[in-house]
Amino acid sequence: MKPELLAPAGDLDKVRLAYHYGADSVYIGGKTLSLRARASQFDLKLIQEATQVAHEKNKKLYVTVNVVPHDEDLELLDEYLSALGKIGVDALICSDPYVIDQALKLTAVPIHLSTQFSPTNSALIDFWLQRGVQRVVLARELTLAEMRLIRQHTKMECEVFIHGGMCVSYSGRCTLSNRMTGRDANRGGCAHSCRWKYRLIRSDDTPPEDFWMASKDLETIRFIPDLVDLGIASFKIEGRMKSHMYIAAIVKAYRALIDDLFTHSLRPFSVYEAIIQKAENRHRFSGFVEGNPDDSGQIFTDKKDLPIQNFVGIVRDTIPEKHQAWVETRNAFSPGDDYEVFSPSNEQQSLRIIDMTSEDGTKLSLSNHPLEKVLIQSDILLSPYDIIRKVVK
Amino acid sequence: MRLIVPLKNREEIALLKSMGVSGLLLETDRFTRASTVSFTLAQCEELIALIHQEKMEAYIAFNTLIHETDLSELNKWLISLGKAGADALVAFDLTVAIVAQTLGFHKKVIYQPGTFNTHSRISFSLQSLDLKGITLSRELSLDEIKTISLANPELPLSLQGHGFIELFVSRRKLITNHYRHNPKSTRSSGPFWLQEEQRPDEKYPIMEDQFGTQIFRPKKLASFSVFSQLDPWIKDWFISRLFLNDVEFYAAITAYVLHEYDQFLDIYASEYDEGTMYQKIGVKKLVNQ
Repeated sequence: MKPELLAPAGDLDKVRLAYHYGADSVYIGGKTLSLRARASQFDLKLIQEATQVAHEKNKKLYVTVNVVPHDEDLELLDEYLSALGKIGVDALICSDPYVIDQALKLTAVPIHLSTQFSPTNSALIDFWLQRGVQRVVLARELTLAEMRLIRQHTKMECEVFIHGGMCVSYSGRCTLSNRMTGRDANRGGCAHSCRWKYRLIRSDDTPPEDFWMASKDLETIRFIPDLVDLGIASFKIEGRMKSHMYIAAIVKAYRALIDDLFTHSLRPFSVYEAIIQKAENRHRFSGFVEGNPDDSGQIFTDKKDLPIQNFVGIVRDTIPEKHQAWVETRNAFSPGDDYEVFSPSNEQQSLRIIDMTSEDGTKLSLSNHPLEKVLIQSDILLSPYDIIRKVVK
Repeated sequence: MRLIVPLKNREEIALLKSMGVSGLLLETDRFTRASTVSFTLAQCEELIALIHQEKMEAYIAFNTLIHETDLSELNKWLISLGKAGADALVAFDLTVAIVAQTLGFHKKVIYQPGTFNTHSRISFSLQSLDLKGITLSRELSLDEIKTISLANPELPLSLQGHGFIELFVSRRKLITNHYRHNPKSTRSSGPFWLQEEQRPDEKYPIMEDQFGTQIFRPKKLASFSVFSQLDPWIKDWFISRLFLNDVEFYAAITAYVLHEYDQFLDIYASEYDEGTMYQKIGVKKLVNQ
């Protein structure tokens, strides 16, 4: 069975973008009871809108309700779950047993057990299956061999993370942030203390040494055929806080790979990795699939990854008969440079900008205000959600 | 309130009994992370009998995450421990309770996940597992503990109330990886601490074993000021002995049993605090510790 490609989205525009680039389903976090609640724009009205967008496209929308709640968080739980049920979202991703019980009681929405609960074996998974949970998001600490065994021993639908950031601790079991900053990691306050710089001190007289524990990000391009063979139902991409460019590129790469695999036209893995490389600037590794990671799965520096500057804009609207398009800018943008277009349908296509004007009709030689809307005239036809990248020589 | 403490060896059983301890926690060589002493299954069976002879209870520590390849061994351990009459299985992973239930155990498992038991309705959802009790999570405030207790009069609650409390658990071997990345460094046997750049006054104990890496709060937790308040609500009080020498460990037990807190603090005050536990923690930065 062809697995679902499940993408993250931090706002409604990214929901649309993820579907446009090939996601089968999108997961979002609401303003309530989600680990990304602080940064979320998704109130119930927007969740409803996102669900409509999904269903119009015959796709699915999932909502995370995955905090480890305290009593004060539960006051509005029933009301919130009932509202999500009425909206008709396609699944709720939960980790707390009481939240799961209430969701099962108050809604007809399928429940997915979050990876926050660290599902690592079939006995635990079957317990949740009997309770009515329909899918489990496997712990990121599982090897391919362990996933295979689990699949042999349970009938539960399994979802795995295939790409994105990783906790170095077992998910849900870390309170470094609580202790160091007073922010509750399991209620969306994680300060990413594991990414800070430490010194390792020993009991002998040896001088302290720099110590790092941050994980590289997960990338599993080369293991997708294995995961398909295991019968994994859903391939999940992490990153609800990530950019348009990131979501577009990662979804596009895995979409292409999965589709090629199922049409027996698989290309060299480097082709799909090259698509990812257009948006990724973080160090990556294959996670636990081949075993417990050694130092090659960690980052040993606090040097920040430089943001990729070559994502210059996203097409919002077009006037095809004039070869014109409205572009929302992200980085400095001027007609003289070389550009390429990134879209769901093409590998990459070079683009020449003939003319650029501002919203008030002023001719521009440079746009350097992020989120500015400019009208460009180009040598090729563009479509909404095409992404314009500067060619870096 | 009953004190539950880890046992070092058989000779210690009578001593701990005489000090007022109610239950002894046996750490295992197969299912216990960050253990002080590791007992084999056969040793556990033998110690359970000796503990019962002293009219004390025998608790077994299962604080690893259970992976698929652990299930058959877990089954074997639980069957043997059930036959041996273990009084409680202290479980980090709910899997232990699930497997125990399939074996027909009745009120044997104390669910101690470290972080997940955070609200008063958790027990309703776990009712079907016929638990012996639950250990409340380490990030709760006193008010929250009270609320949970009042809402769950039937379910025995416990707390990890003294000693080094875990903050982080990873499957990765981070110290091994550190030395692998820095081959010119000479690895010592430890102990090790981490010091964060912006918090130079705090040293976080870090240790690695066959199960991965654990990091602990920088100071040991002492709960003397709240122990009496918690008494009506908490049944089992766990004392950790990790990184504690015997003198300090026995002094801590004495302090709780006899309420002789000042004597303990006269010696050890600088190494302890009440820290994060019992403070209200939210999603925003409330306290800069």
